[in-house]
Amino acid sequence: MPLEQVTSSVSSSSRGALTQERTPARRARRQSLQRRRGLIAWAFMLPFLAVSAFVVLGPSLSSFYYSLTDWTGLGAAHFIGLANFQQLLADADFHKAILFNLFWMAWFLTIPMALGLFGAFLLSQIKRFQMFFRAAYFVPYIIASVVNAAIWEQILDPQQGLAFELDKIGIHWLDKVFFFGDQHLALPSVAFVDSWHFWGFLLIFFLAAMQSVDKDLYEAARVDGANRWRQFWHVTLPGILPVFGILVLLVTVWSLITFEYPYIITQGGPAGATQILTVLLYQDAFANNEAGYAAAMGITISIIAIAITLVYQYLQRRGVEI
Amino acid sequence: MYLPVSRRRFLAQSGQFALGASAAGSILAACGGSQSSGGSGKPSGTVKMWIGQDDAKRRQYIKTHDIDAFNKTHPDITMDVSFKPIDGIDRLIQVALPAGNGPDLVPTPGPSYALQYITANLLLDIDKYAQQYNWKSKFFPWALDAGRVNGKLYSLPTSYETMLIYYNSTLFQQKGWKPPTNRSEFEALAEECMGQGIVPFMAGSADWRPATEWFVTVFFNNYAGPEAVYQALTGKLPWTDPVFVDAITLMNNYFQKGWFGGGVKQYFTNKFDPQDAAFAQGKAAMDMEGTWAFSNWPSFFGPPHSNTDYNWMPVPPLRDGLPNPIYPLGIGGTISISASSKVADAAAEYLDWYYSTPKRMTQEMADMDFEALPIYVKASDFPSNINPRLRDHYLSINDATSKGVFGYTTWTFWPPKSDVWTYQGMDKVLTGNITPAQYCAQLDSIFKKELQQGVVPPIPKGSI
Amino acid sequence: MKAVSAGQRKPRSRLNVLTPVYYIIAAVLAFYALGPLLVLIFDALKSDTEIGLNPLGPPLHPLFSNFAQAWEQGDLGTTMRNSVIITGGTILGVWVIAGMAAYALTHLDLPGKNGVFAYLIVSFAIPFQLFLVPLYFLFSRLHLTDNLLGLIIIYWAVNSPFAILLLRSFMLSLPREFSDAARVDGANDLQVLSRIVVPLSTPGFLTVGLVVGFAAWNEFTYAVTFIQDNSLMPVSTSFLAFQQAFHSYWGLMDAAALIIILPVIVLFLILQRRFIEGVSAGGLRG
Repeated sequence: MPLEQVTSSVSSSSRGALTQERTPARRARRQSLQRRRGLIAWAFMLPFLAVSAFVVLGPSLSSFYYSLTDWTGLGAAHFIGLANFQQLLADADFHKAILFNLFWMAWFLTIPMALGLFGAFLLSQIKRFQMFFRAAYFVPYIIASVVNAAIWEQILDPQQGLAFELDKIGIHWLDKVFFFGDQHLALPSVAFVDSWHFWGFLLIFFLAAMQSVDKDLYEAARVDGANRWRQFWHVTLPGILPVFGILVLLVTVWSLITFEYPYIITQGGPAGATQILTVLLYQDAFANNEAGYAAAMGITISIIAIAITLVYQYLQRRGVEI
Repeated sequence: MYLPVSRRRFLAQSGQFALGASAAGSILAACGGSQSSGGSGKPSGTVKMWIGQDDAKRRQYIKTHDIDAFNKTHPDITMDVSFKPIDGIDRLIQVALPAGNGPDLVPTPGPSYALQYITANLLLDIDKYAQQYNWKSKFFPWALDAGRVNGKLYSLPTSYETMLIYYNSTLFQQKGWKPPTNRSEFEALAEECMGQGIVPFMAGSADWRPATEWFVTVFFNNYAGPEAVYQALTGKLPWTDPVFVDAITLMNNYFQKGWFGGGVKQYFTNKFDPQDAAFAQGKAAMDMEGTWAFSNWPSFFGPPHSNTDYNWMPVPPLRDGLPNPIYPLGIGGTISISASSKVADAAAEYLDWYYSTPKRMTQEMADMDFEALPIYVKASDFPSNINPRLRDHYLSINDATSKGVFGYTTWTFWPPKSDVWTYQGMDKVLTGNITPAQYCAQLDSIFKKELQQGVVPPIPKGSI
Repeated sequence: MKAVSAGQRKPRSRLNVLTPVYYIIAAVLAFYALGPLLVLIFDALKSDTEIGLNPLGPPLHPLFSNFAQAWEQGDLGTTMRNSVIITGGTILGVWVIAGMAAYALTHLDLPGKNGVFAYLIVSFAIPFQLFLVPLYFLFSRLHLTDNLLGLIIIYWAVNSPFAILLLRSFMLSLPREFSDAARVDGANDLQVLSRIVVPLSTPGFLTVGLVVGFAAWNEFTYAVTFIQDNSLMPVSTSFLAFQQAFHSYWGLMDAAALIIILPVIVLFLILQRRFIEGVSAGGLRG
């Protein structure tokens, strides 16, 4: 049973003989104790809430206001109600962008996740050179995105990259393949580069989570005759479920606001083939004099993220321990 | 002043978002800011100026040649210059100016940005200085016109540029080719190149997506013609007119044939440096690009990089009956006086000095690749260490534009959203997602809305 | 809990037919991860013209001067010092802020927990374009622009949500017996947090520290917006020094990139060692 439910049951005032109030005095004392505990809890939350309200929430609220106006970024802002949102619903570029982000989400929930799990599994099975492999797999994550983008653009260049090197040994498959110049290949190619970068991030967390799994459970499984794979399936995976669950949520939400790689590598091109939501938003907000509309788009993206959270919380309440 | 057009222009656009938030401040500034320095007599005072420049060498050079030189010869006025990062200066100005904390001399990346400040009453009307200093005799007519809003003068261009064709002169000599002067020669040359496995024009937008608008600029101006473009920019001709649709169709044709970069997908993949190298090696014959490229070529042409040399030519007219040469004008930056400045007279004195010293300007062009100011210059004004090709180019463009023969670059004279559509929409034409007719229809619809909103920058009229 | 049964002195040897296969796959993955780094190293030693001609191969005329030039042109001495301050401040702040918040969410029965959780998700799901400009205005009025502390505060706000969520997952898997026992012994919440919970979730804290550190070290958008003063700029903005209009100095940029990731790799190796030790020393042995 999830720990939170355990704790709440202990502190709830309606279960078990030990916690029954016998007199109003005890009830009052219990209530004031509860309130005190609540206050303490909020005190611990306070630093985060203060910083977040100051930097993120407050400024975002002003954008929320502008999303309901026809503001061009200059001059007066006139209230127009939900007109921006209506326009958004009819915007073909917006629809395409959502599809692109969904594709991105599907990609990142499968390929890097699987690779991350597999990499962590691999590292848990081999004894030697641990340090080397960990460092190696993590290196892509720590190189600046601008640099990563530049290097992969070179590698995937049909004239001078891998294709060129392969030509030397007579393999011409990549000669006419334009990874970033072909509107049908651009988005998967960008996703590929970002996954290469992101893989190390997932790996580290899976590793950390795996290390925290009780070693004795493995012992017990082994005694029961489970081989390496079944140990992984029955001990490791359930053990890292909390971290895994959070990462699924993070990746899902991050897929909606990803910005750097599509922006740096292809700037939304060619011909809008990589114009995901945030790139579209950036270009609308900063190049098109449509500040109110852009604010509406930003709000909408956040609303979609909230919707996903609600689904997540619903699942959590239904007992799927994440 | 050297202003790298691309990044500054692009990042500056983020400021549009910011400007509105300070609209209230602008009213304050306009009320309090009634200018003019200490009464009568000679202008005096300390003039604050901000310049966007990161490079230490250039900063020092600017300080010596543009600031100290003035201060020495004008004891009553002190120029106080503050260097800001190129990427940040526009944002800084957007925050500071409405609050009354900005510099006295206000730089912007171009006329449409200056327009925003003008609409918000943050810049000073400088007609009286134009008369006092007789700027009409020093500036090209279009330069003063580009800064006029509702007939009043608010800003002066600080650099200008145009589109040209550079060609590998060694290659041309080897093949016995000549620079084309009309459309049929142009096409014949391109076919000849393709036949020999040489890419006619190096081109690639991977490093800078908006590069597509360079070509749209050329085809609008050199096919539809500057007069038609002027009519369209002033709302008298729709963009759906066949002459524009045909221009776009022609451009698309050439791209589909692989004349630019070798093909559409290649175009979207090619980066500038490898393209420049290929050009120098004769794998591409020509490069249709702006005057800024002059400063690139020393890194690629000539020993020790290559045994080839380059030269330039104007883009030929692509339709009969158009003037030759046609130089579409781009303005790389403007300068104005803040409406709340207390030392406007002194600031104007500096401006006059800045634009009245052609030898200083040409020296800077020679030493540091700075772009030219739109003032009259003679061949004798150029120092001996100037790149002769650059000098000849400027003399040629001076000649044409002072006669009123010039075109309009999309990045300077189109309003913001229309400008974005020129390249974003054109990319969709190149990939076959929309037709040229649809492109023009969309351009027309976007442009008309902006025309209504009053965000079209001032369009100087040529004499053709 | 059982250790080993009598008759077995050591755990059964882990040799397995598949192990060499695992090593091969691991090596292939290492090549996939490091290959581009190799290209980066090669390119850092080339001149720009050579990169135009020979982008992937080893340098024909290695230009070690690129490093010195990159250091100077990018003012890397100053920028790295600034980044160290920014990154250190960010990590420490996030540890405190997120640690306390995660603790409140898992061990302190926070009333309104679900609402807070929802806010966490929402706050990092907000695209930065939405609040960047109003924030800039706010900070400039409070003189927090051109100010390292201002940037650090932004990083706290932006990195904490996911740090909280991750630490929360780590803390969730801790049995309550420990903290309950400590509370029975009279410890207050702060002590429980610092003496019990944090040590037990060290892998979580170290990992979060590592990831937040990298985020702060490499972060670009906020840095370039809020810091204009050259003496305060972090390393991520160093790359700007190598770009000019349409032309980039790739060789120098790559050299700078190498210099910049060096401390990060060192930090990673140091923390990784402690990380492994921490796990085997602490842990959940009964």
